[in-house]
Amino acid sequence: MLKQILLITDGCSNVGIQPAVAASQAREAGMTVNVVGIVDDGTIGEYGAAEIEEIARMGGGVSRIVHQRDLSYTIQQMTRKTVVQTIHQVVNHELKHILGKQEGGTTVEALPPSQRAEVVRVMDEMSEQSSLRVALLIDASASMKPKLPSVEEAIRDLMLSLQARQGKSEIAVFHFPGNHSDEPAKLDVEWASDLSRMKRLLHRIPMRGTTPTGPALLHVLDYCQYDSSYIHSEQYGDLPARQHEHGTDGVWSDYVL
Amino acid sequence: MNMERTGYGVTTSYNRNDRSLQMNQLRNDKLRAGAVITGIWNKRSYRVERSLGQGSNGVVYLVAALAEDETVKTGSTRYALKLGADTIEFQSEINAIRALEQGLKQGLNRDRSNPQLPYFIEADDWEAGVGKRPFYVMRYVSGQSVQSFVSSRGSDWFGPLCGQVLERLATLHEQGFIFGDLKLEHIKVKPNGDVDLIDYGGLTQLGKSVKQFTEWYDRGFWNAGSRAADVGYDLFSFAVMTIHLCQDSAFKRVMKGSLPQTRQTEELLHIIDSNAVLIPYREWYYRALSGKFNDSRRAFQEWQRITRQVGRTIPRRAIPTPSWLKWSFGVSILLLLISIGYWAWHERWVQDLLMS
Repeated sequence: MLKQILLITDGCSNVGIQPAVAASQAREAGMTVNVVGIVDDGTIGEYGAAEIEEIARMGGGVSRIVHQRDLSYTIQQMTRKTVVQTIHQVVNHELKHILGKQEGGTTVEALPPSQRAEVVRVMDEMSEQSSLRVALLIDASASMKPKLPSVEEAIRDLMLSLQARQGKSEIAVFHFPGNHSDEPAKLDVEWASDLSRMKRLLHRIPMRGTTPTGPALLHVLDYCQYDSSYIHSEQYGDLPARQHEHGTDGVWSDYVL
Repeated sequence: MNMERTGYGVTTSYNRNDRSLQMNQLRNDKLRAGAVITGIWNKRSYRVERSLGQGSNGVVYLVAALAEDETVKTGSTRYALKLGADTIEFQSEINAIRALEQGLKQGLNRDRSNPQLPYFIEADDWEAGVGKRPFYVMRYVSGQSVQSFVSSRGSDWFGPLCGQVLERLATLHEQGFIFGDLKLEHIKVKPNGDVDLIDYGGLTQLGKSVKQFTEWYDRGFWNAGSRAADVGYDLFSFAVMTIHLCQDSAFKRVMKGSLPQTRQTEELLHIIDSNAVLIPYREWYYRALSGKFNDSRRAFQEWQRITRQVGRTIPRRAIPTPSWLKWSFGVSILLLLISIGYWAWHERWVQDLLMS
């Protein structure tokens, strides 16, 4: 299963562990952290931009700073490209194993066109069919409040794109800070593959000034790890059973998880 | 965007920190005219003449094939060369185009001749100095945009041109692909009125998820269905795109005013009602926008039927009366009145009547 965390924020963290450290822990656990910095008419500030860039770099993902009207398309493309990149890495890794230190033959890019065409065809199948989980972490600090409707819209749009995939896709939604100081992030939507029946995605947003991005990332990481496929299959009986029979998923779980 | 990259955005090693979407990078390094691109596998060279535009996965250039002695022979063919950055995405585009061509070629033997071929010439890599970049060469289609063709020659062309686009789409669909990212920039009208689709970067196998799309023309964006590749997806994009073509200002007004949650295709049908060119196609649009077509060949034939009807109907609109005619009519009435008065004055009985 491919796992991603997508952080949507508009500024700097100001409480707790550095978010870049949290992101690097997520990467160690086999997840990719992407970050979108969202602006309305102002700018995000030099410090904020640098932090966003660093979180993504440490999380093995990418970052972009966009206007809220471009949010939907940006997160859709980011998620999709990250799936391709993750599979790309695994394939490159495998090629290294198969072809060893053979000159020039260790990455997909270095393969001669005919072989490359064949490998990419298989990679496309994998991108389309592997199961995917994206945990969204939404900054709900006071300055984000007016942007939350576009964020919610973008999440629904992402779900729509993911639903078109042939593999199983699920998303979970968190916002931060949580309701009290012991709660860095609050779970809004549990792993779901359809949001159309949910009237609202983000609930009970408190008006608190802190932005504990780092602790919130760790909170999401814990959720993703705790809710592993093993526990998942216990909770939801027959649902994932189908998935385990799926050939591609079995292959991936060896390498990615 | 992570810009900490070496080379031209080609990931050459297994390095987790070195990942990027590579979207902006493509735009930053355009080649100048005169640059020579040589393939490392097939050893053919091309000289860049000018940039044709930014495609979905790379930049497209107009190029001339170089002969062995590095010169451009007079009258040598011009090609369109697409230079990509992300090898994987690019290869996947090439794969789709080649699979499509394979299918079209096979169909050619049994079917009628297809003027679309050959589209794809070759694919290769270019050693760009700082890293390898993939490219492929395709047929160059010179022509006008639909907007300028229709606006300079009149809306009579709307039906026939759009019909040709539908025919091209139907041919793709029969090969098991959808065009995906349909937009006006991807359509060229040749001087003889033939229509060609260019930039097949959005080509998607039926049943797969649509990877690239233009928001305005996207079925998901209009809350009108999924983003899975089916025949209806292209027809939906076609419908919105052609409404936009016909009614640019009204379309933009709707786009500005609409909220994502309430965005509905009814708004598009309202635009149709206010446009004389679109009205004959209203029923067709209704079906395309609500996903009622599941065969694009039939959709094409239906469109053709309406277009023929439109062509054969002489509008009953009255020819406006020229102003000289109106004036002379007024003057003759005036003259008539004067002469009646004069005649009456001369008749004695009128005078008598007035006297008494």
